[in-house]
Formats: sequence, C-alpha cells, structure tokens
Amino acid sequence: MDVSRQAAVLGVGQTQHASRRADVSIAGLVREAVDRALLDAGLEHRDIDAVVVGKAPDMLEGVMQPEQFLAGALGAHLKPLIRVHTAGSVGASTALAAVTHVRSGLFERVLAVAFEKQSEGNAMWALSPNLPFMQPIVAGAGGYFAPYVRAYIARTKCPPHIGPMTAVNARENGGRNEYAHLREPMTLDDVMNSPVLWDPIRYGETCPSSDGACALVIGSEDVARRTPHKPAWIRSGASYAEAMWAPGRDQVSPRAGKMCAKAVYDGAGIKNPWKEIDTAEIYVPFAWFEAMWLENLGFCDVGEGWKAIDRGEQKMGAHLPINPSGGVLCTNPIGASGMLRLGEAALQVMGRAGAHQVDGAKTALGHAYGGGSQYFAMWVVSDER
Amino acid sequence: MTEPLEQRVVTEFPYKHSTGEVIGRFLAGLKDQKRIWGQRVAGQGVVVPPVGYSETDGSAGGEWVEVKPTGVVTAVARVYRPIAQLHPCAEPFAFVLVKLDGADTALAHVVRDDLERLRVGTRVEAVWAPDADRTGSIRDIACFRVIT
Repeated sequence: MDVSRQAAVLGVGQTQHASRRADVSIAGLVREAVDRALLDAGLEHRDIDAVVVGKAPDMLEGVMQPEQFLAGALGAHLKPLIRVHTAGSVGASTALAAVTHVRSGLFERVLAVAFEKQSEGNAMWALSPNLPFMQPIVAGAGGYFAPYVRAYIARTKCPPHIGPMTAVNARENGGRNEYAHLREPMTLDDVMNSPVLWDPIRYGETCPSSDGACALVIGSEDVARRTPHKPAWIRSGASYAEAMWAPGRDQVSPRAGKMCAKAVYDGAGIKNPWKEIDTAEIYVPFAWFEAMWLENLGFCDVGEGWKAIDRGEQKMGAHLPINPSGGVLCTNPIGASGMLRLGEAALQVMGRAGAHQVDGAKTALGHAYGGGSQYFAMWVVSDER
Repeated sequence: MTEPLEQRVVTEFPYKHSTGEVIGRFLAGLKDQKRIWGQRVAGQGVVVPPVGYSETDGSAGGEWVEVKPTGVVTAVARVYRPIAQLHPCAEPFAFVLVKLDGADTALAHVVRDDLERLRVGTRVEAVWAPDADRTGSIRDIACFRVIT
C-alpha cells in the first residue's frame, strides 16, 4: 500500500440531532446525513466507490446487522460495503477505515456513515452485556466512569467547579451550532444544583441521549483538487485499543490514548500540540473528561488540564477552543458522536463551521474513545496538504 | 471430573421503532384503509412495501401507487412442523413471496391453507385481520389465501 497517498474530507453532512427523531426511520435518519454530505461534496451516489458504515452495539436499537438492510439506503448496491464497530469511538474508526480505503489506492471516493437512534431502545441496558460468568452491571457509562473521574480529582486536586465550568462552556458553544441537540444556555449554578447521578458526576455534566447521524465523503488527492469547496486534508489518523482487564491499566489516562495521540502528532509532524493545533473536537461524554483528555492527549502536563480550563483557555476566542460545536455534552447519537468530532474538526479547517467557526483555524484534532476507555481513534486535519 | 455447568440467559427488551413517513404511511394504509400502497422507484418499478429509496442507485422514492390485494406467489417455503413462539403460526404453514397485482417487487408473508396446492405461480389474496386487531403492522394482513 502506498501510504504516502493523500486523502481529504470532501464533504460533511449531519442530521438535526434530537432526543427522538420520530419523523424518520433509521434509514431516513441515515439518508438525511448522507444526502447532505454528498451535496456538500458536489457528488451523487454513483460517484461513490465504496461505503463504510459504523454504529455502536446493535442492541441499542434492537436491529441486528443494520448494515445489511441499510445497503440500499446507503447507495451501496454493487459496491464494497463494510461495517465497523468499536463502541463509542466507532464513528471515528469508521472515518479512519474510509481513509484507509482511499490511501490504499483502490478507491477514489469513499462514503463513511455513522448513526445511532438512541430513542428506539435504552443505552444503559444495551451496553450491559449479559456474559455467562459475570454479574451484569447495568450501571451505564456514567456509573462505569465515575470512579475514574473521582480518581482524576484526587490525583490532580482538581477543584469541584471544573466539571460545571466545562458543562457551561459546552452549552454556550452548542448554542451556536444549529444541528446540536441541547442548545439552551446553563449557568454554573444550574449545573451545581442539578442532581448527582453518579458521584461526582451531576446531571448537568452528562451528555444527552440523541438520535442522529453523520456522513463524510473521503477522497483522494486527485479528487480533492477538483472539489467545489476547499477540502480538509487528513494529515494523519490512528486508532489504538487496550484490553479491558490488562493489569496496570490506568483508565484515568489510558496508555492507548497516549500512544494514539503520539501516532497522529508524529504522522502530522506536530511536535507541540498545544502550540501547533488551533482547535480540537474531543469526546467528552461527562464534563470532567475534558480536563482528563487535555492531559492524555498531551496538550497539558499531568495535573495541568483542569488549570487550563480554569483559566478559560478552552473557550471560543481563547488559546485552544475545545469542542466549538458543543461536543458530546450537547449531542450524543453514540455511534455518530466520534464521526461528528472528526467531521467538526474538518469543518473548522475548511472554514465552514458557520456560527461556531474558530477564526483562522488551520490545524485541528478530532478525537473519540469508546468502551471502558479501551478504543481510541483520532485524526489531524489541516487546510493545506 | 464434573461437566462444566451451563447457564441459561434470556435477553429481552421492548424496543420502539420510528417507521418514518414512508413505511409509516404504508402501515397506516393497512391499519386504517385496508389498502396496500407502494412507491414508484427508479430502476425498480412499483416497490411494495415501499422504503423511500431505490435499492439499486440510492435515489429517493417517487409517487405513491395503490396495488391490488391479489397477486401471484413467486417463492414458497412450507413449514410442516412450526416451532412454538418462533414461527408466526402454530399449525403447518408456508412462507411465501407474493408479487401483488400492480407491484414489481414481491412481499414476504404467510399462507396457512391449501399448502399442497401452493406453487410458484399460484394466485393468492390478502386476508385482513379484524378491525380491532389491526395495529399498523405487516400482520394487519393476517395471511394470504389461495384463490380457487
């Protein structure tokens, strides 16, 4: 494989995200994003060489092998079609699989699609597998991650207002994103006074359950040079996993996350991400994870992530705007959330993020994680090759 | 040494699926009108049940077309010993594909009677579930029966 071959984002499409999109079936939801991505790229179904589709576990909607019945809806008839699954990071993994398709030299234009229709089932139930040798723990993601948030707080002396500050900023950003699910502003008091769901995680620091989809058109350099809009050049992409029960795992700052970040920075020639990256869309399902990931991703030293947030350096117009779209805290169609991070990073360097555009963004990071902090998938995109 | 133990697991959850404007309209036709609607689609003709897009080129579905409740069987799979709670009928039945008159695609359903006479090419008609039992489901057509 000629890995020197370039790939770029030609088009980005996403649905209107909401707690329940009762107006569309799963196929209709997916097609809303696909139609917008194709329109954005100035292409039609017949121009697409291959399709990659991803979503979180099938138990979420109770529709097994949705890639099978969706093949027609995705325009994949008589084309290569594969399904990707890496839990919450699947949207990002799906985009990266499309990038690999293009960089292999076998495909010129690949459609990547990710979705979740959370309203059709119950994520807490669907994400609690009934394994024959384990006590089922129907704790949901919040129950699972709360101990690691507490560990971060204990380890770094992170003060109690950092989670609420992060949540307030996310909503402020989400208010500027016309597609976001939650757009109403919140105050620090609103968050502080919201009930504690999983100590220390409050309701106001928790992502919503959303119905939504995202689609990206990934193309080769030849195609990208002829696209109607300025493309987002994919400088590097990587994904790493770690074993659930590996001894010595640090789920506060997982090693696979650090390795993945190093791989994408090395691939993009980035030596100092804090200085060289203009904005980042990172996967923050519970507000405290923003500080945690700032450290895991190498933007800040250990114990310094929450201080950057306390100084407001993650806000719009500040040094490193984090999640200008409002991120997962405003919109969480699980399977699509990772692709939304990568797609929003692409929109920033294309200069087409609308009301939540970061002025002059040239290089952006898109990040997602999934499972019990097990899967990591990221890319760095730039406005130039 | 003792045999490893087995563990019985029941996995069950009540899902609620949005049918969307296309499948939703088809199902409403069955429930409220006892009429069967299809959609004209590029490359496929009249598709029943309609899904809102072309399976062949991904283009959006077009005009709505009512089809007849009668049609011709295009495939038969007889089930002589149904499995309780798994199959749709307790008595012997047949899975069939039915190309309804006016449609260009075939619909999957069941035939309960005249199983020995049932062949590819046999003409059948829809048997509607009673008014009180129709819920907006493909089983609002209770089954198909052979037309003598």
